[in-house]
Amino acid sequence: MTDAADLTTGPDPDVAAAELALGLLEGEDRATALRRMLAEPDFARDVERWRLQFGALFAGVASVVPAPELGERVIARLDGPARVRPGYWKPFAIASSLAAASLFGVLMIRPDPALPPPVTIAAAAPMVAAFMVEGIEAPLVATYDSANGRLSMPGPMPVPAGKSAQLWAIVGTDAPQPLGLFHDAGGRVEADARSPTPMEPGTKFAISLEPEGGSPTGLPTGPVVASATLIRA
Amino acid sequence: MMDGPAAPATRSDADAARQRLVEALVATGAEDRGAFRTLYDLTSAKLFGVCLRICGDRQAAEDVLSEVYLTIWKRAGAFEPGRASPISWLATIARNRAIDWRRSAGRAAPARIEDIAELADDRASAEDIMLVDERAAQLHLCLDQLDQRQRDAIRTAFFDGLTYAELAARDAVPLGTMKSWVRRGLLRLKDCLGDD
Repeated sequence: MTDAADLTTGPDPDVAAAELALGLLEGEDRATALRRMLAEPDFARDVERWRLQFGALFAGVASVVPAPELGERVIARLDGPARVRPGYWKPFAIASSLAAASLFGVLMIRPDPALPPPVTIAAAAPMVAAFMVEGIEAPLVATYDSANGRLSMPGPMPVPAGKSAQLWAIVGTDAPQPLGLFHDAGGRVEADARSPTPMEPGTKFAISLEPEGGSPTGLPTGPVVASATLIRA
Repeated sequence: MMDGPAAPATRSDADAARQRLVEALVATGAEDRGAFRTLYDLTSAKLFGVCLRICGDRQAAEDVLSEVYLTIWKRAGAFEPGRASPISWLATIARNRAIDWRRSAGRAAPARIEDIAELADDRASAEDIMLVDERAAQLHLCLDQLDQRQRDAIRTAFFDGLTYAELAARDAVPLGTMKSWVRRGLLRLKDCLGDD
């Protein structure tokens, strides 16, 4: 074999960004790279840059006209569940100290709340997640309502104009799952946290700043501004 | 000649097409259905081509395409005109959706197509010329500097949405060998492309 110059160990981080952008990774390698997108703003930017660069190759894909009625079918489906309207948030000056990297650093060194032993959660059992936010001494305690799948916390949430705050769930070592965008709800803010798998204690949440309307790719693209672990109340 | 080939698109056609597309995409972000329909008409053939290539099945590709446009309807407000080419932004959504579908459906990678370049029409359409900006020229220049097997693997990963494991199986080489080729290729590509 010709693996004398094998680079399979210790890949350059920027190559991992390219690998993720190309979709080469799967399983644990992919999940690790996706978690890095949440944890490392530079890495997320590299992935985005590679995506834009590789995007030039789309010129080499032959166009094929789809079935003529497909356009009508798509239009007919636009009246599905209400879309998230941009401009939900009152513009709120975000402190420059809320820079993602430093904030994430702060979040990471705080010990997680002790986890209770895994138990089966009754439908109405309340669960909470304490979000640590830089500049605020006490954690912001979010409540998770397993009946309607909503995560709610005290508002308002500081989100720069033109951005949306999106909730992500990280279960075990899986890739982050995109959840809803935070919006105002009677003095609090809440986000849709329904996911294909039930939320269990120990689920980690992260909030990232995404373009208005949420991450266009289904993967986190913006800086993480807060994170928390779901526990039983 | 009665049915000679259409005149090749020019740069100004491309600029005009790009502008129309940006306008349709921005208006779609403001929930303008007419603009959404225009956007669909301008881009569905390209996006269907992307989906079909990865899904390898017309029916599946149409289902995926339908989901892609619903995503575009919801997410058009997130498009930032200054950052990404509109067609590239849209095609990336299509590519990611198609890859998600193929992997979650547990489908095998589509059959090998020997020469991707052969698939492309010689006469680039206006939407294709939109993609051929300086960044694209640089990417092609840098890809040309790679060994053929590195270049082939990277192009195949992009066009067919293959993982390392699928690339290795397709070329009947060990996984570690494929990773090594591709990683060396990506490192060289990164050096060649520079840091912006």
